[in-house]
Amino acid sequence: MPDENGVIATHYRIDPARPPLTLAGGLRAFPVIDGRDSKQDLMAVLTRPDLPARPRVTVGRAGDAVPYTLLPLDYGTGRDLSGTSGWFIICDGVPGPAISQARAPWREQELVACVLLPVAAALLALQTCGLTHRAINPDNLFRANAQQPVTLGPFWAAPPASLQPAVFEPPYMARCVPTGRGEGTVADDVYALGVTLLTLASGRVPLAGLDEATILRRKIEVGSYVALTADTQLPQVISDLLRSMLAEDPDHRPSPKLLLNPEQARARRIAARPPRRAQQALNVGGQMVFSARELSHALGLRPDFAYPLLKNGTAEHWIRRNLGDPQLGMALEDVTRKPAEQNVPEDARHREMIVMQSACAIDPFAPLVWRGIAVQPDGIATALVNAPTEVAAALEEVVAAEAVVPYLDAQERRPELAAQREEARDFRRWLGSRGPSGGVKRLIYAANPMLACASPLLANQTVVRINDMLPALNAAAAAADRSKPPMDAHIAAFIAAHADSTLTGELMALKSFAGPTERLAVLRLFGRLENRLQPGPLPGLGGWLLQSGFATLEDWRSHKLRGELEETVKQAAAAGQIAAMLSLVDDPAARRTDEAGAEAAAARLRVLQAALDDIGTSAARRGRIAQNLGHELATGAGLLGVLGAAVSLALH
Amino acid sequence: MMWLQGVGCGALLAFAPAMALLLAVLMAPALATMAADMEKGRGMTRSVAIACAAGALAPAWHLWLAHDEIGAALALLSDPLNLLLAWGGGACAWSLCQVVPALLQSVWSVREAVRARKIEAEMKQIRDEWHLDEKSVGEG
Repeated sequence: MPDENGVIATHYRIDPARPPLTLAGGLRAFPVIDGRDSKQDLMAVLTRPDLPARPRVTVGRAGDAVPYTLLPLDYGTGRDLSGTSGWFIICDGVPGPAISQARAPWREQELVACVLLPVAAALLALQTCGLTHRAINPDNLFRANAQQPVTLGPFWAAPPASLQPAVFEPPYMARCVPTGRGEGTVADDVYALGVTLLTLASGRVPLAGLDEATILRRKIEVGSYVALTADTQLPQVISDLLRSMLAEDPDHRPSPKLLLNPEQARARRIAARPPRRAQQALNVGGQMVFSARELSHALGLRPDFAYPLLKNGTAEHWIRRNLGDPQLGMALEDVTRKPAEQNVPEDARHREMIVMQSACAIDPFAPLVWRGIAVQPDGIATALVNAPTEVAAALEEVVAAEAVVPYLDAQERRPELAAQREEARDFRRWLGSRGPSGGVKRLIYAANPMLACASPLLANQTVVRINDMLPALNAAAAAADRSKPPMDAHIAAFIAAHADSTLTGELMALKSFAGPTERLAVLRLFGRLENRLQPGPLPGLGGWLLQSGFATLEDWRSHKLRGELEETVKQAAAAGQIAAMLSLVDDPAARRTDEAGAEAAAARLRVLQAALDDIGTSAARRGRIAQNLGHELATGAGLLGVLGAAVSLALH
Repeated sequence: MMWLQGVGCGALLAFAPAMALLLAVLMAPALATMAADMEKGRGMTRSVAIACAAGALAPAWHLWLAHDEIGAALALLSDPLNLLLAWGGGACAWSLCQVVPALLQSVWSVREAVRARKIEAEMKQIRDEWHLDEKSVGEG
């Protein structure tokens, strides 16, 4: 753990001579100097504690060659110059300012040469790696000067598209909560690239000034291309490209490979059937809908109004009669009638399930909607982080009901989400796990491996990797209230999520942190972690455990042995050896000896008590014996007298 | 048995009145002790009676040799030595019955008190060493 301000991941030092940068989405970045190679122009991007970095990119793909893209080179905890701790990701410095700062419309050749081609090349390379960018917008594209190709900015420091303005996202992504948009596909990047080209070509962000809900509604009503390009004069090449890049169906958008040849890409025509529109609108909770996509959107937004429409067949009737789409009506009927035939109980969960499945049946691109909250299946974990109460409640229900599985059943066109079925089971298991290390916290930490532990006990320490947990607690001990345990539900869940399964027993034993068994379980947990991770001496944590009563010997029976052990435990705590403390406190052989000694002592006490009782009750008996002895002695003396008198008479 | 004692006494009065008189006077402490001794077995009466009998044996023998005459009995009774021996023996026996138990009780009490203190000290040491309370000891 770095202690010095301005030092990141041991090797990098923030350059105080250069000002920090504010990247797209408000992320902060600091120019840094690598202590091993000071010539490199590097920057450290500070991740937000509520937005975990993308693990597949940050950890798994660091160093992969993707052209025109800033990739993570290193990562680790550190402190900025003010001393604030955080999780930093090191990458090359940005080549220049963001292209959003140039307000003048770009020329067609410059758009193609400097934006379209380099970004398409980057997307192609990312696609080859199985990755998406999901943060393409003019604020996140940089270049040194005119006529230079742009460089794609950081996309790995936050969940996919979580910092992306809704206008740059396809409608089915823009509907989702920002942190729940999921990895998406390269087609979603192509869409964002299309909106970026449109922005640069027109010199302004389309639909600027409108709120996100209005933008989304307009896109759904008239389609993205029409909604975004209305009243905008565009070069013919760009216009042709945008028509396909902004297609509603991701399969209709050109691939990055095709975009590398703009002439071929603009010549490609997909014969997409325009969506059917009804003459007479359907009223869904006050919102008038005219198309299937609008209906799906309205059902998801207003589940309370949606269910009666689905249950009584109004929606199906409207689709058949007014929209003139019997096939879609049949698909909807399958969803709404099947549970009734199977006698499924009509509870709140069932109603949400019907609404969700109906929205999917009506619009194949619809996200998973539950209680009005939309999310992509692979975005549930990130959406749960710091989610508002109602969002968290809805998402927990999604996980508990494994609603992802029926959603995916209706999403055969998205094979990239197949792994979510397995994840759905894992999520449910984690959510259902009990104790402080279980529940939703366990789910959040297990499903977001780059999420920093949010325990208030850690104070100004950042812990993203399990290796950093003990040193962070050791550092936090100095300012901690040592009457409280160095363990809470966040830390327990974090350890449960990051440590291997051999610690399951200790984690299950935690329950609360009050009883002696639980306190010993905490010590065991820290001791085993220390053995495994070898973090070095932890005197702060040792003292904290000692003072908060977690290395107590209270339940040892022998006073003498306890006194000796306490002294040794104190020495181990001062040396910061948690495992040594554990071996002293939790020594089964010594415990058995102690117990056997206590039992022998109790037996001896019983014997002594009996003897003491006997002394108390034997006084009367002793009196009788003494009296008898007196009588016998007097009788004996009398008999001697009689004998003496008889002998005397006989002699005379 | 009381009736047998009554027959014996009656026979003695009838056939040897002088002997009865002599024995009644010399054994008077035993008779008095018998009247006061209410304990089971009457150990003290027995001890005093045997001690008085030791003092009365010689006068009774001399009376027997004098053919049990009242005058001889009175002469024997008028000898202070005979009374001293019989009554003094009874007094010694009574004293032994009183003093010996009291003495033994005192010695034994001191000895038991010392032992109790030792036991209590050991119990305290065990309790302090092993943190044992009444409950944990009782459960064992």
